[in-house]
Amino acid sequence: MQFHRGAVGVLAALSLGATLLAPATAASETDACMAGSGTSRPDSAQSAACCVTHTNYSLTSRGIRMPFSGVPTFKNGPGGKMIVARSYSGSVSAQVVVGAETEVGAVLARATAHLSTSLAKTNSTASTNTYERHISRDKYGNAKYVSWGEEVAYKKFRINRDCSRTTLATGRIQYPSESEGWYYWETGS
Amino acid sequence: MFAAGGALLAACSVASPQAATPSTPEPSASDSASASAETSGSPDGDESPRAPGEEFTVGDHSEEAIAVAEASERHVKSLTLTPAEAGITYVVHAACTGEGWMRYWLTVDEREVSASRLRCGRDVVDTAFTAEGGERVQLHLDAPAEEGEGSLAEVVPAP
Repeated sequence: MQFHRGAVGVLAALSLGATLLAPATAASETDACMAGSGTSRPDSAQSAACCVTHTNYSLTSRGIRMPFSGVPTFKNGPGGKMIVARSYSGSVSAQVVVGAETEVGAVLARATAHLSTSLAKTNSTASTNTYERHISRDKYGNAKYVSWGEEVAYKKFRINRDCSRTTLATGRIQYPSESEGWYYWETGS
Repeated sequence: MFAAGGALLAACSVASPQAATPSTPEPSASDSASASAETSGSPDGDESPRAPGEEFTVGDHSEEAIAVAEASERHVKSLTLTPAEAGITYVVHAACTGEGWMRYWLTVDEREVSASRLRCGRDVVDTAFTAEGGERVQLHLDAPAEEGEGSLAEVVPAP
């Protein structure tokens, strides 16, 4: 998808399998660290391992829909056609499901860099998007204006000098994206 | 395109804020679409998805698209690429550059299903339909596409 950087992000992220990005290391420190460790205990592969201490995040995400505030859910039927227009000034913001509010910015920075470039803390727009939809016979049509965002699960961890990992925090945060539109579904009543 | 005939309009009511009913529990978002990454340490920050002054652009259609309609230089091209897959819910992904509007309408096996009119400069994703399998989908476009502008609508699997 190459609509623009937003669209690239949302839909490109969906096709990712498991992308692992190696943690960055400072070459000079690593070299010094490995040399020192190798000299002191050269016969132990485990103990010879030596890493530069730093903090990392691992992220996973799944697509979600986040409704805009101030825009009601529309319902019509059974059958026929419904026409809905978002002519309100609505907005939708990131929501912490589990974890600390203080991680919202840090996780977003990493998620936009590695998972979906279109994710944002807030999506607020006043442009109108009119949607017409034929409703299946004997069904009720429902429509809600949403941002097609992602729920990002994160694990914040520290890489220790011995290359082991210490988990510092975990959580889940829902982010809206720049992609927005009408989500439609049908019900029997 | 949806006809605006009197009989049709009489049979079809139009939703309005006043007519809105209490929310119906919606199907939960699919978790089949997922991604993961492990990031290296970098300064914490609030990155804006779009840099100040960054221009909205429209590029090529997705490789996952089963139908596409594109407009540029006042020329509209509409393609049906592959039949729909059973059980897949599709969305219409639409965007256009410039200051105007675009309108798309969607037909599935030559039956009108949905349509949308939207302002350019936004990335819009509307629900299209859930396939039973083998449907042929076509998008129709009414877009400005003046010189230097472009419009694109495509039917892709839902996020």
